[in-house]
Amino acid sequence: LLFNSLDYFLFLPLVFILYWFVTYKKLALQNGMLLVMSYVFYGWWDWRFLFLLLFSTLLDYISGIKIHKSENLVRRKFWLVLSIGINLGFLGFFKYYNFFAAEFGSLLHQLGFNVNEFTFKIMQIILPVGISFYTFHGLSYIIDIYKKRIPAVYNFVEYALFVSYFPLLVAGPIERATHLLPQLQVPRKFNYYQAVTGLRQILWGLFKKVVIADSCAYYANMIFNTSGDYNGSTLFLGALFFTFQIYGDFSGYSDIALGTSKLFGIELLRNFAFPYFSRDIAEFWRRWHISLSTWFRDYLYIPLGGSKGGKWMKVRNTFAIFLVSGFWHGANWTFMVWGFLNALYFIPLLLSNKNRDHINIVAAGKLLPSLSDLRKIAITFFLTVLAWIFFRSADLTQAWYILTTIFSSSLLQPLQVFPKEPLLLIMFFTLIEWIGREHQFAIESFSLKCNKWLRFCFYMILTIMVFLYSGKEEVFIYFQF
Amino acid sequence: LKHFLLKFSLFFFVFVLFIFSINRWADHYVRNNSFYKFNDSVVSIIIGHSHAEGAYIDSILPHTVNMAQSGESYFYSYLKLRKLLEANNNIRRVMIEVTNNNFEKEMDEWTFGEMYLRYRYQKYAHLLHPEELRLLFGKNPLAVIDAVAVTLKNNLDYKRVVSMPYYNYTDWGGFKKWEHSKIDSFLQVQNKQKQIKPVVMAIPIFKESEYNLRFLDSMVALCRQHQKQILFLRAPQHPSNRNPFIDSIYFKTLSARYSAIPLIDFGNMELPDEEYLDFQHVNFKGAIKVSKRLDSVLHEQYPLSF
Repeated sequence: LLFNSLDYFLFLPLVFILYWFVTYKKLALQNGMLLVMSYVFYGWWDWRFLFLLLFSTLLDYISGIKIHKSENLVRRKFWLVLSIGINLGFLGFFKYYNFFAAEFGSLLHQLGFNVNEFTFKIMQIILPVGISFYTFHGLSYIIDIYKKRIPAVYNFVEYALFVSYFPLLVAGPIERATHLLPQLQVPRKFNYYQAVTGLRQILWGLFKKVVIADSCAYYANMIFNTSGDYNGSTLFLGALFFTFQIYGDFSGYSDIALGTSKLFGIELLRNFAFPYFSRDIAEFWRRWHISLSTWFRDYLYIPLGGSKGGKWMKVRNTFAIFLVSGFWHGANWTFMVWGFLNALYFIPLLLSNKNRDHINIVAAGKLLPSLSDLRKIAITFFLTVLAWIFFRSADLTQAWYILTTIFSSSLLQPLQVFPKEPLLLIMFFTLIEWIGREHQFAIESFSLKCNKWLRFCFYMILTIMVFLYSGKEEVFIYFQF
Repeated sequence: LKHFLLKFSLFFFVFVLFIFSINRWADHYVRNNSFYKFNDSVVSIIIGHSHAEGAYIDSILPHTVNMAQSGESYFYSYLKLRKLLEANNNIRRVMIEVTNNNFEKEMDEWTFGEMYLRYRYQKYAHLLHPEELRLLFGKNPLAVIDAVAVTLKNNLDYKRVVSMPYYNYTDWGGFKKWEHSKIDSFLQVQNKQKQIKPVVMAIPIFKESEYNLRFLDSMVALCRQHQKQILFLRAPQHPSNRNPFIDSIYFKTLSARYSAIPLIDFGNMELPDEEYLDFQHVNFKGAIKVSKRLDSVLHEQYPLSF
C-alpha cells in the first residue's frame, strides 16, 4: 500500500478503529491485530514476499533467543554469524546479485577470460520492497543482544511487530529495539495531543510528497531523462528540482510514518531535521536520514574504531561509512560515487575537528540567519545539489555529462524550461520549513502560535492542495532501496 | 478519543463539502464557457474510437465532422453526442462506428478503468448527470475520486480561466492523419513467431460488454428522440485481423438489436498493406479511399435533402 493512495486512507481508519475500539482491552490482541494488518499492508504489494519477511523474522527471533540464553562465546558467535549471514545473503541476492554478476563477468572478459552469457546469468529479480529496512531492523536487534545491550524478546508477536510494524516497514525510519520494543510491550493510552500532532504530521508529509515532490518530479524526470537536450542552466534547474523531489518524497514518507504511528500512541525515531538549512556537510548528515546515519555510526563506524584512532583511521572509517551508505541505496556506481563525494566533503571537516561546529539548528530563536550562516547554508546546499546529480543519473557517463555542462559557459544561457508553479511551491515550502525549523516538523509550530480559526484555515488549504495535486499517485523513491 | 474523532469528522466534513461545492461550481462554469457549436453547414457527425478517427476524412465528406476519438467507449461518446445534438440543431445525421471490438468486454475497461476514466472524466465531467456519475462511482470509486482531483485542478488553472473557451469541440475528436504504415514490420514479427512456434488456432473466447451496448442503445434512442438519421459504420480491418468467429457474433448482435439501422460495412474492403497503419487501422492513404467510398454510398443510398 502506498501512503499517498486512496486505499491507504481506507486502511488507516480501519486499523485505527480496530486498535482503539475493538482490541484496546488486551495488549496481546492489540499487537496481534497490528501485526496482521502490517502483513496485509505489506502483502497488498506482493503477498509472496510475506514468506521472506516471515522467514527473516523467525530467523532473528530464534537467533536472538539462542544468543541471549547462551554464555558460550562460540555458540553466541555462531548464531550471530548465521543470522547476519543469512540476512545479508538475502539482501545481497535480491539487491546486488545482478550488479556483481555483470561487473564480475565484465572484469573477467577484460582480463581475457572466455565468458559466455551463461557464466554469470543476469536474472529477472524483483527487489522485495523494504528489504533493506527490515533487514537492518533485524541486524540491529541481533547485534544489540550479542553485545548484551538488550535481552532477547520471547514473545514472538512483539518481535514480529517490531520488524514489520506497517508505518515503518517499507521505507523506515530504521528503528532500534531499544526504542521501539519497550513501547510495544506496554499498553498504550490514547493521547489527544499526540494524535492531533500525528494528523498534522501526516498532512505535512502528504503535502511534501504529493504537492512538492511529485510536482518537482515531473520536471526533474523530464530534464534528466533527456539531459542531452538541455543547456547548463536548465540542467542545474533539473538538479535543483531533484533536490527538492527527493527531500519532499523521503522526508514526506517519514512524516506520514511518524504521524501514523502517533495515532497509535507509538513514537518512532525522527528521520529528518531540516537538512537543507545545514551549515556544513557534517550537519547535513546529522539531519538527513538520521535513522540510517546513526545505524551506520553505531554498527559500522564505531566498531571500525570511529574517530578514536589516528588521522588515517578516521579517513578510512569515514570513507567506509559513506561508501557503504551509497551502496545501501542501490547496486549502481552512481550511488557509490554519491557516497564517495559526500565523504570528500566530510573529510576536511573531520580532520580540522570542525565536524561538530554546528549542532543546534541555524539561527535559533531568530527570524533570519546571519549573513555568515546564509553563506554557509548556500554553499552546503550547492554541494548537496551537485552530489544529488550522481544519485539521480542513470549512469556515471550521464552524471559526468551533466556536471561538465553545468560547469561550462552554457550555465549562463537562458533557461530552456521555466515552470513557475513548482518554483512558487518550492518557495512557499521553504518558507514554511524555515519558520518551523525549531520543531519536529515544520507545521507543528502553527498549533502553538496561531489561533484555532487561522489554524483550521491553514490546514484546510493544505488538505485541499494535497487533494488537488493527488490526481496521479507516484511511488515513493525510497521504496526501491 | 471521542473529542478527537468528532473534531476530525468535522474537519473532514467541511473539506468534503468544500470540494463538492467548488467542483459543482467549476463544472457549471466549464459548461457555460465551452464551445460546442459547429458551423451551420455541418449536418453529419461521426462518432467512434480510433478505427473511425483515422478512417474518415471530414474534408472529403461534405457537411460532415468526424468527432471520433481514440480509446473512447460508448459511455463517453454518448455524453459527447448528447451535448453536440443539444448545441447543434442543424445536425441531421449521426454515423456511429460500430466495429467488432465495440461489443467486447474490453470496452468496460475503456469506460471504468482507472487510466481511461481519469483521462475521459476531465473532458466530460461537466456533462455528467447524477445517475451517470453514480454509475462511474459504483464501478470504480477510487478512480472517480482521483479523476475529480485531476479535473478540478485543471479547471481551476488560471491559464484556462483566462483563455476561453474551456473546451472546444475539437478537444473531443477529429480526423487523425496517420501517414506511415507498420504493417510490414508487424507481418515480419508475425511470421517470425510462426517459425519459432507454430500458431495453434484456439477457439476465441468472446465476452460481451454490457455497458458499451447499453450506451450504444442510449445513443440510438437519443438520435431517434431528436429525429436524426442513424447509420452504423465499420472501418476496414487488415485481413490478419479478421476473425470469422468474432464476425459471426458481431452480425448476430447487430441483427438482434439493431436490425432497423443500416450498416455501411467497410470491414472487408480490400486495401493494399501500405494503406494500413496497423492490423486495425487504415492510414491516410487508406482513409482517402474509404472516405471517397463512404461519400458515394451516402450520396447514392442515404441522401439528405437540403
